[in-house]
Amino acid sequence: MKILYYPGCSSEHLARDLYLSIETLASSLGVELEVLSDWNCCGAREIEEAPEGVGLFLAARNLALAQGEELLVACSLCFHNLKRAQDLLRKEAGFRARIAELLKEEGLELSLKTPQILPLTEFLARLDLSKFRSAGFRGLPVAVYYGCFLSRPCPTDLEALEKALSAVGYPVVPTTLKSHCCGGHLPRTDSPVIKNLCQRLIFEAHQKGATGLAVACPVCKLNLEIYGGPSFPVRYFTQYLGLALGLSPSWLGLPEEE
Amino acid sequence: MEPGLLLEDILQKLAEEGYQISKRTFLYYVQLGLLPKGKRKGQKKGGVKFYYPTWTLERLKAILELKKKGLKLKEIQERLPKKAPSPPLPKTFSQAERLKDCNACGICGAICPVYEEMDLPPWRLIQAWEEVPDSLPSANTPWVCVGCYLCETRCPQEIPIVEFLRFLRREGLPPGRRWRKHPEWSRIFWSLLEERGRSFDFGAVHAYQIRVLGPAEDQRLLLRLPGPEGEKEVTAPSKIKGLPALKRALERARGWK
Amino acid sequence: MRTKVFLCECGGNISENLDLKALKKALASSGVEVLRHPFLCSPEGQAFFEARILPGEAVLVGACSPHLHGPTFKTLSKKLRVRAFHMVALREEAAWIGKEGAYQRALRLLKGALSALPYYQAPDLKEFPITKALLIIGGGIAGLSAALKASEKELPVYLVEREAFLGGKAVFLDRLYPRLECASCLVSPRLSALSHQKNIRLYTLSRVLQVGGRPGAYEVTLEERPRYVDPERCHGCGECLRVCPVNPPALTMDPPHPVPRAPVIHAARCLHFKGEGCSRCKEVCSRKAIRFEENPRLHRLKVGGIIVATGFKPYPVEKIPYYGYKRLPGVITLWDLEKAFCQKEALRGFDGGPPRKVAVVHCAGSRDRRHLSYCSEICCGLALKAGILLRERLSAEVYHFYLDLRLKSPEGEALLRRAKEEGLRFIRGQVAEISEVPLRPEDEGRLTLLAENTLQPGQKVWAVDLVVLVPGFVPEGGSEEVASLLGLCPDRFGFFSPREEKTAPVETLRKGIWIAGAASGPKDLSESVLSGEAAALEALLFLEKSAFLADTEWVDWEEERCGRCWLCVEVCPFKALRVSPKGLKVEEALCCGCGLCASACPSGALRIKPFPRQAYLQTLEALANAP
Ligand SMILES: Cc1cc2nc3c(=O)[nH]c(=O)nc-3n(C[C@H](O)[C@H](O)[C@H](O)COP(=O)(O)OP(=O)(O)OC[C@H]3O[C@@H](n4cnc5c(N)ncnc54)[C@H](O)[C@@H]3O)c2cc1C
Ligand code: SF4
Ligand code: SF4
Ligand code: SF4
Repeated sequence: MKILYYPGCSSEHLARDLYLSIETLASSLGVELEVLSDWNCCGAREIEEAPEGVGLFLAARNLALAQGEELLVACSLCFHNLKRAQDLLRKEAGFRARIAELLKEEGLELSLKTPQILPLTEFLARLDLSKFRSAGFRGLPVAVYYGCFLSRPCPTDLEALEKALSAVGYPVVPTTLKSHCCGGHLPRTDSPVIKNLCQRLIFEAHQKGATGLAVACPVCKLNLEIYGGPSFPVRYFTQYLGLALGLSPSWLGLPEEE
Repeated sequence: MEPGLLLEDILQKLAEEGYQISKRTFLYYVQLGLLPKGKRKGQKKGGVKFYYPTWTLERLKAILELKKKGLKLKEIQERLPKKAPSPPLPKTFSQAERLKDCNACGICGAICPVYEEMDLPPWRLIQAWEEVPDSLPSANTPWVCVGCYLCETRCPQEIPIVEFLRFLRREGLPPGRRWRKHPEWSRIFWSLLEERGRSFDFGAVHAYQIRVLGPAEDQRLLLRLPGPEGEKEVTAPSKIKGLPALKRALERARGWK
Repeated sequence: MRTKVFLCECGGNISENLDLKALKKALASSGVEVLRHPFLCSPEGQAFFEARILPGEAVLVGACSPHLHGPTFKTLSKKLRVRAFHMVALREEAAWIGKEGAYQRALRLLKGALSALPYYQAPDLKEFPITKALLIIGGGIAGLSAALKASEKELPVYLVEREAFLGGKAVFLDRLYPRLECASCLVSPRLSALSHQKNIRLYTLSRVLQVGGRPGAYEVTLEERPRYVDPERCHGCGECLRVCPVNPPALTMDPPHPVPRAPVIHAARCLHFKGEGCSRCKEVCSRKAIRFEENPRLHRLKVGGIIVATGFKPYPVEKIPYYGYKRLPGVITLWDLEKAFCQKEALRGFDGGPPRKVAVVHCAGSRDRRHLSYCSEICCGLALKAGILLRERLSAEVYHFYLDLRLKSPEGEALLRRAKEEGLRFIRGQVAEISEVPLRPEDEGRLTLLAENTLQPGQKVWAVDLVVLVPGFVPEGGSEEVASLLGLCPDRFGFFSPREEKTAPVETLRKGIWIAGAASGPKDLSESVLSGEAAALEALLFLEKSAFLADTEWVDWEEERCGRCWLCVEVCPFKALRVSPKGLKVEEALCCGCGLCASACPSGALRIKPFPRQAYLQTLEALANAP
């Protein structure tokens, strides 16, 4: 199976471990990730203070480059930016026309229908992972955390993480805060507030009997690791999946001793 | 009456947009009459400060542009209009009608994860806007908002709170007030993005840590970059192929009216 | 035929926007006599009207809407034996729309009406006999009060209750807002009075299956589900409840004052009906009251009028996931609290212990577009009552989270004062979330509640042991079905709309059908009783007469033109039209001549007789051609 894939900027730095685990996982599942050629940054949180056109253009260029039915996106913020722009461009003909004008210079054209922007969580949940589970693997209970952008304002399947993780043998502990906020970009203003938020998330997972927290978003993971308290493991759900498939920790961006 | 802009605000704002000008030059221009005089205002904590009308910013930009083109100060003086420009039309929030439904129930404040960081909760900005339409707040709220959409999904009146805050944020810094750290971050981010077409969080965080926060312990955490062959050195992303076109497009999108 | 036109100034309401002088001149030029009065509906105005009309004349009144003073002038005209009468709403249709163009609008309306007058034929008055019996649907406090009042006139009253016991919500209340008097002390005497009235026939566990006939002579079919206990034999000792092996028992007799005083067997839980051969209750009953062999029964009733008192219920707050109702221990509703107080059950907080800190959450789902967009008006008072009782009985710290405090009457204010004196705290802010996961470590073991104190910036995290949610109210389940059986109009929230909110609050658009109690919108006990008795009195006034008079022969059906699409049947809001083997049938007692069917008919097969087609064409022409 082959799928068009938008890695996003954090794949190259902050979330190298996430992307490493995605690549490793994909190859052992027999999925070929076809990286979108010449993709650009989605503008992250910073597009909010730029004029609307800037954000729309950044997203639209990627969407126009993506010639295919589906575009796989791993980072939740990229997902949100691409999705929001796609919705807005579908709704507002005015924006659409002006963006089309800008895209022309590179000979690009925007399609209204495609691609469907597919979050990694949903993609992995729809594969039948159970048959890849390594024999004798015993998963310890984990809790999941979706964070904001997979939940709002364009909700994705909020059972996807549970489905994927339980398919490979992890008991998933239900929590109520799985769609709450970790504080997002706030760390850059050194706020103590974020500590409370992250510790609360960890507290719930811990209290309800989880041994770790499976997250989907690089920013969430960063926040939770820095502010959530020292002793509770926070990993990407792809890393958890990889371990259940018997893949080597170092290939999943995890320290060797795991 | 709005208090106007402080000299530091103006220079900061210009720096964000890539203009270079020193405090001395600024004051020299004022002396020449190229720029308006500041208004003296006593401070509560003692001392005085000078506030310049907001249009100073635009005028100064125009001067610097003309200077780039090689014009002499005298020629510039002749070209620029003598009087203060009429104030720019207020940019109106397109969904302003829907703000009227706000009951001031406080749910948006209560659910906001970063409430404690905000000078005012979102609904107070809505109420202020209702009092004086098109007024831009001097509260930090729009800049603190992390865009989690919790408020909007809970608001009993289904008010587009996040869009409203985005609007306020886009409309620029409130006069007389600086949100000190944020613009710096933003500037670093955008310049790195435009250099390559991809953002370079590592570089940005690094630059930000050094420039604004000073060396911090957390850097250690941020710099950990594991790989199958052990820790790897961070390198900046390579440039995308369509970079020149992308830059031009961004420039044009910025200029949209 | 001489025609007189009366123009009313309506105390400036009309004359300020409309040049009546010019209007008078324009009309007079076409040969009619035009008279003007500042207040035609006033006693002087009516005398003026009477004094100027001669028998056999045609009369046109230009004043307010015919819905308001139509009957006034119509009755006077009838008395004066005028040949044709018509009324034009100059105020609503010309003056109030605005000064601009008002004159033109008025002139066209009047000219149109004038050209129709010569064709006018008065509808026939007919007599319809009335069956002297009353049906009341819903045995809550409103239905009950209506039944008691109506039964004083010795006519048969049938009271139909869906549940096994009478009394509705009121029997489970503990203390009453605003005076905190004991609810059962007030409600139970009414319940006992009811069982002593010979002419009231009770049907519990029953519902209305079918309604036929016409106003004054309805034919109603009821279905009564089996109780499996004979209330005539049973004397309510409760022995059977104690021997039932099922937990909770398959027999119940929940209300503190059960009427009828006999338990009900829930077949779904009962072992006998599961084929397990249990008959312990039957064996223990000394009165031989248990009857497993009972079957559903149908009853056919003939009644002259119907009162609908199906009541309301609290909004199901489990639909608000972030309040945690039915998920978190220690989160209850006001209704749960009321029942717990009433049945003397101990209250437990989040940690299982007695609650020390309690939050009372007003507007749980109310004034929220995703749930109830309206304010239920009575719940603030009920919440306040609950807060005071919690404080007095549990010595708990009580926090009220409210958006606006909507208390009425001086007693309401007094109660608020008492609450403050007793140390209840009031925080203006709607609650955003209730969670079992603490935001501050010290709050572990309590419920964390997020609400901003909008009057005093700063605090938004509160930790409590018990949360009492106070939801607003929605119509009782099944009222849609009742509405469609009776042809009633529910408002957009499902409550029954009265004919006129302010001046006819218990009447409906249907003759011979009235509404009472919380079925027409949230009401407290006294308002429910009030409207129940008002409905009963209206019903008695109607049923007292042997017959009623109604204008008939409104609609004429031309068989040859009719294309059988039956659009008319569909649009008639009064259900006056039906299809019979012989064609379209008009139920004369139901038709009020609104004319909707005639305007819906695509083939022009329907005519409103008092105003024949010719009259309409003339009117249209006048409307289109007037200068
Ligand atoms: C928690 C709570 C606390 C309250 N506290 C107070 C207070 O302190 N003071 C105060 O004044 N008021 C109080 N009230 C309000 C009071 O209970 C109502 O005003 C009153 O119950 C309304 O009476 P009702 O007969 O109109 O409706 P209901 O009590 O709802 O009775 C309607 C009856 O009709 C029956 N019914 C419904 N549909 C059908 C059908 N299709 N066929 C046959 N039967 C049907 C129902 O089973 C029910 O028995 C409180 C209400 C609640 C819920
Ligand atoms: S939640 Fe909505 S209605 Fe309530 S204060 Fe905020 S914006 Fe206003
Ligand atoms: S979107 Fe912004 S204002 Fe709204 S709750 Fe989230 S952080 Fe607060
Ligand atoms: S009465 Fe009070 S609690 Fe009820 S909906 Fe109105 S404001 Fe809310």
